[in-house]
Amino acid sequence: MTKLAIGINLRRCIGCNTCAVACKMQNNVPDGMLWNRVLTEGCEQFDGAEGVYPHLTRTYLPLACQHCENPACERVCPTGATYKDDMGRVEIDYDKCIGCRMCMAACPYNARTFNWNEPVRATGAAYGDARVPERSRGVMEKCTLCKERTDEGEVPMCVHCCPGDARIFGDLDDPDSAVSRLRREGSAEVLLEDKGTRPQVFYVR
Amino acid sequence: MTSLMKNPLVVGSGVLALVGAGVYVYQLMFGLGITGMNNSTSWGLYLTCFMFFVGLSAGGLIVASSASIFGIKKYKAVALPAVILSLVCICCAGVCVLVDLGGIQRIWRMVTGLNFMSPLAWDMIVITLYLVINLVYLYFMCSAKADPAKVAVVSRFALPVAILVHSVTAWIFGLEIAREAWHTAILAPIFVASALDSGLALLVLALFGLRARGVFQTPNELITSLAGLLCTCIAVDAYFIGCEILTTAYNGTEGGLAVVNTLLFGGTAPFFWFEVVCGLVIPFCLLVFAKNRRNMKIVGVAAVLVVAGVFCKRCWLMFTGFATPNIVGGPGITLGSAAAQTGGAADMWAIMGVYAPTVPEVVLTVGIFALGVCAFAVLCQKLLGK
Amino acid sequence: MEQKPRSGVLSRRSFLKTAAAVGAVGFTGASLAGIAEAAGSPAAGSAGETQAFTYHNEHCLCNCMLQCTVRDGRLAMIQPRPNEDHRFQNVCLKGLSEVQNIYGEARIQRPMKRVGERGSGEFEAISWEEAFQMIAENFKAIQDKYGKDALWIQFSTEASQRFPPLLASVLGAQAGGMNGYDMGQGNGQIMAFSPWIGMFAQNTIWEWPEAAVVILANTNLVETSLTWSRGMLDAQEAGTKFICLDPRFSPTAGKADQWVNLRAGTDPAFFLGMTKYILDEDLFDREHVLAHTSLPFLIDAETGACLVDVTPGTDPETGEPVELKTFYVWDKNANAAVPQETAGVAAALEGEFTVNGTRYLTQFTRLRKDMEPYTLEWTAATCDIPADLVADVATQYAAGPSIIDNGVGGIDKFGNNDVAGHCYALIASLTGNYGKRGTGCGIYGYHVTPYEAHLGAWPLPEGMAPAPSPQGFYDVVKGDTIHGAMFFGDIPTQKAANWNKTLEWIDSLDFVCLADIYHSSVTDFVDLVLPSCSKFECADAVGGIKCANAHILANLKVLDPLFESKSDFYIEKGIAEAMGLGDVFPADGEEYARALLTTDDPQVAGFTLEKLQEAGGALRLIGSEDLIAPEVGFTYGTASGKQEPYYEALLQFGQAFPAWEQPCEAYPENPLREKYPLQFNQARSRFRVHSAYSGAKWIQEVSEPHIELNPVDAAARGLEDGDAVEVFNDRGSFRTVLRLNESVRPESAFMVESTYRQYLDGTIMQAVSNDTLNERGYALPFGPMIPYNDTLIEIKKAGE
Repeated sequence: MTKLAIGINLRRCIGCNTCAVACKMQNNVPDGMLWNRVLTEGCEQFDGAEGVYPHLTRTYLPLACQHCENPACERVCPTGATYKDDMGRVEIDYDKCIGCRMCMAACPYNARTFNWNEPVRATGAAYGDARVPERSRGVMEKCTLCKERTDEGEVPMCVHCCPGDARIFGDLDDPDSAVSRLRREGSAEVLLEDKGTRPQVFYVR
Repeated sequence: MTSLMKNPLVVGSGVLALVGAGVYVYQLMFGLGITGMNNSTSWGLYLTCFMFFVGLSAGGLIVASSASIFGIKKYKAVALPAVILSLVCICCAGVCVLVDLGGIQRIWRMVTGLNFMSPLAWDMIVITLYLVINLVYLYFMCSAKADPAKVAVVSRFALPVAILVHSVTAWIFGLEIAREAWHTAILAPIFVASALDSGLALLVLALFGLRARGVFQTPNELITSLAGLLCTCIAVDAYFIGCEILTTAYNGTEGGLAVVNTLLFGGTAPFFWFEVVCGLVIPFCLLVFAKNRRNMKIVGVAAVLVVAGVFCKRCWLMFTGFATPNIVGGPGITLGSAAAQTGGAADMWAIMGVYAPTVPEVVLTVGIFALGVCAFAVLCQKLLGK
Repeated sequence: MEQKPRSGVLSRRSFLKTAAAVGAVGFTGASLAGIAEAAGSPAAGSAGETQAFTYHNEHCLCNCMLQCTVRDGRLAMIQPRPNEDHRFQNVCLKGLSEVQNIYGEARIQRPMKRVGERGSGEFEAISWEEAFQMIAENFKAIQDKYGKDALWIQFSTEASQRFPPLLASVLGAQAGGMNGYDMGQGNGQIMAFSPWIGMFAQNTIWEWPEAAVVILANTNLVETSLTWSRGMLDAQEAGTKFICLDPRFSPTAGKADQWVNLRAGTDPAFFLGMTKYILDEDLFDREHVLAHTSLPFLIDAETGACLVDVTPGTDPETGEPVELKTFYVWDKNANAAVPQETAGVAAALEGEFTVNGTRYLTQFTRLRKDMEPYTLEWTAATCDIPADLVADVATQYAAGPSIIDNGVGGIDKFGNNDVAGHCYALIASLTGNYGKRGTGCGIYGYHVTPYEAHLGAWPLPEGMAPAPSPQGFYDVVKGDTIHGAMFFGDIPTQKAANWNKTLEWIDSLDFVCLADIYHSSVTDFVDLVLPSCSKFECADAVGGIKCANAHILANLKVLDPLFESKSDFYIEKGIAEAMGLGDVFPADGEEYARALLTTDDPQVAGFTLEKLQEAGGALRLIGSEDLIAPEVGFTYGTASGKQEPYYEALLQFGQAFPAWEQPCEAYPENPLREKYPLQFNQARSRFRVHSAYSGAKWIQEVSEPHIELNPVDAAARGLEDGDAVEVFNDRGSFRTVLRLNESVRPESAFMVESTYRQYLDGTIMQAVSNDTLNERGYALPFGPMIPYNDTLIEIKKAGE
């Protein structure tokens, strides 16, 4: 079996947002939303800090679909539009999505974005990878783990572009993969572990 | 027909319903972006009203069916208006779900590829079943050869299905592990309790209305009796809410505190406190005294307060669930709204859940209520007037 | 008296030549194959799609090599160009945002003549022919009336495509003098360790893992050298400890192992305190100081002048006459002053001696005296930090091997910036943290390769050269020597402080023209606006050639010029043609590119335009595999050949050894603080390069211009997060949005520097910045620096 995953080494994450923009470009994500966003943990402002000056800490947290092994979104989807594929990715069949947003309420990570309106692009035209299907108004979308790229053995665009080499992509079922090694390092953690969703995106602090 | 057209309630509500339909066409053209919903608060007024209508639908059917099952003869008198009310409310609930769908043109996927794990799938099945039972019930009651035995058989199915429909609606929310404010085993009982009190209160109000219009006469003793039942339901509802909030707040967990803070002091506090004070405490204090229950004015006021209180409850329940994301960090969640599309960072992000219904959204919702009023008036005039 | 021959120093050029000869063969072949394969990969995609290559963004000095996907004639996707050396396979959000930005609303689309008042934004579209005629007539009139050098033609990196500009040379106009920024700390370091590569350190960022400690002196590396952050992160993983000095908890401070939150403008005080502590605690490297520095040299106890013999000689490289100096030390064996290079000398490090009846002391003895005021307590009070933090950092730094990496923001934009640089040089030579592996000081952020190829040039007729520019732009705007100007990019709001003064100067000009890609702040104030191409567009197959990142990079055509834009090359050529001088220009970009590639530098032997195209727009310099420069060593081009942290030339300024000097405006005791209590800190972020990318929608989605205050300061003013505010002082004001951020040092305000005025409610940030130059700057190698951050302001709600 294949269980594709991303490990993010937060020690190497400089909060540059390149992954967010790379994802937007690759996947033709329209204006006003991002599949992949970078948060500054525990504060209201990007590049803010936790604590009181000068006793401060800051952690950047890139956040997208966690491709959970036990996906809450998949279970609640009434039409099976959201599914877990044989590569271990959580995907959406846009043709099946009725826009009920059960999955959105179910996702503990706020990883999903909905096309509330007709998608708008400041470029005035579609961009990114020609293989990525277009999504229409009324359809849910989110990180696909760059399905179109990873199907062909390429790494996701966020991993490809990360200037800090903070993102490692690979197969968790292959014990020799870089992502498996990173996970074994010991300090790997997943977000909201108590929710039991068993994310395949993990973080090293 | 002409008599219907002379009924200002029917005409007025009919016009409002048509305006609502117009707004729905507008929504179909431009998308759900015309509402206040966004990626941080992905359900809004429509599904709040869905919860509300499902609840309202319960009271009537439960009274009607318990009259048959438990042989409470005095309730049999109001069984027919109760079933009509129930039918109208469940239809409105269905409309609420349908107008909330972003891809209604693909709704046939619910038939061809239904995922039986989804609470929404259960809900579709149970609501359909409930609707059918309502219709069958109505048929047997109104049919010329109405057979009390058949009515009794139907009612034996109607009661558990009525309870189930509210439970399943609760599970749409209560099974979502992502939302601390919803994720509780007691949510289904809370829904059933709220359904009972709001449904009963609405039935009382409907009976007042029918009496005032001279369509259907209900004796005061019966209203007094229903008011007693309502008082009990209020107490049960309040008890469940108390249990839930205590459990959420007691250990002071991060998630629990976020919920309690939002509820008691935050964005949903006005709804919460309105419900507690005006929807539970005041009506209970009014109705707990037998003397008051015999005063039709007091019963009327209490019933209005209960219905309004339960509406507020639907609001706080819904929006407390979206108030605090599990992972908080600047700049937050991308909203995906129309403002987010055209603006920059200031319009695109929200740290906490944000939502305010828009005018079209409110008008469409009012249209659904109007549709209910109109349908109820018409059906009562047609079926009770005989 | 023996003189140390200068030729003993292995010069940079000669090293490069040697290195190039070694690995000439195998590498180019491999690099070509690598790209050919990548271009044919599945990513190349479907029919109707083409891949093209260019480089980006030289403005922030990362020079990312980009693989661009063009679909239906539009730029659809950008990826880092595959590179065998992962360190050069880079892109950041700014590069990616170009997919939208080059089509964005801020783009200048056609030539426009101003018809309304300056600043009104009222323009009338005209043809290129009319524009060129208008420029030609105005340039001629100005040069005929006031002389050729009354015309100023200056390029910013943003609006140029990297063919070296020719117009100023052809017209004999001035082409810009000293920078006035970025070189302040360099001014203070260069004299101790010359030669010095402009503002850069002698070794590269890739050497950092060999250091135990790297002090990031006001360097926001992870944002301003974004793609080179790897150098820091790799070193950190290898165990190097990073100590970041910054008043703000900057993104870099957040990634560092230790943060020193000193008061803005007090970096020199911090280093002076460290120096005093190192001297007191005997943490300096005595052996190193004696062997490799000028500190044992004798100086006059009264005047501070060095005891020297001066003989005339010739520079072995240039053949020009120079003064050769022989310095003296006190030989403990002979009990006499002897030339420092005397065999077997036992130089005294400290002491006061009489030579020929005059009192002399060693530089080191003077250093001890000069450092006396800078106690830990004084340092703690001046920098507003705990005293033990100073001692702690000093101890770590002295133990070494240690590096000081300075940036070009923060302290570099204060009046006392050269003192900070001088401090780095002093403390490095005192502790032996210069010369050997894992040590050094200077700018590392952009310094990723020791290699620089010498490119050819386009031959202009004899005598065609720019007029000398005796003044930097910072002085030009205060004078009346210039009567006409042409800017490629927004020079006026970027390269001068105090915008209202700059505007007065613009008003005084007979004619001012701007060529820019985007509607930058100055656009509305010029007479004529010309649309420039972005880095992705050119009329020819190639739009620019340059050497960077140990590669020859080609700006190959990705798209035809968008809208009515022209590349800077064709704008220059068009003007020259209108003035009857078009013949001296290359016929087209290809001819220019070939001229640049015609060079005898062995590092680029055999590099042709065709090979560059075949290789995807970049060829690795031959023999440039090892990006770690050779050890800097201990022989220098200084007068004594040793490290010379004692600057005799600055005796008149009291800065022979660095001495504490307050910032010129933003010091705590300044009475102006009563009116303007906040120090205004401008810095670059990852979201823009100066004003560039201000209009990029994808970047606006994650960051918009705003000013930041600590919540304490905001509360004191009754201001809340999201308020529209006015920022002001006696020089002027601007409007923006306030955000609260705990990272900002109380009593200061932070704002990402520069954006287009349309995003600041029609105002310009530079309206408040300080343009007071430190007179000492004129005596320094890189001239005076503009103290942008040495600025006091106040903030109030807009409209109040």
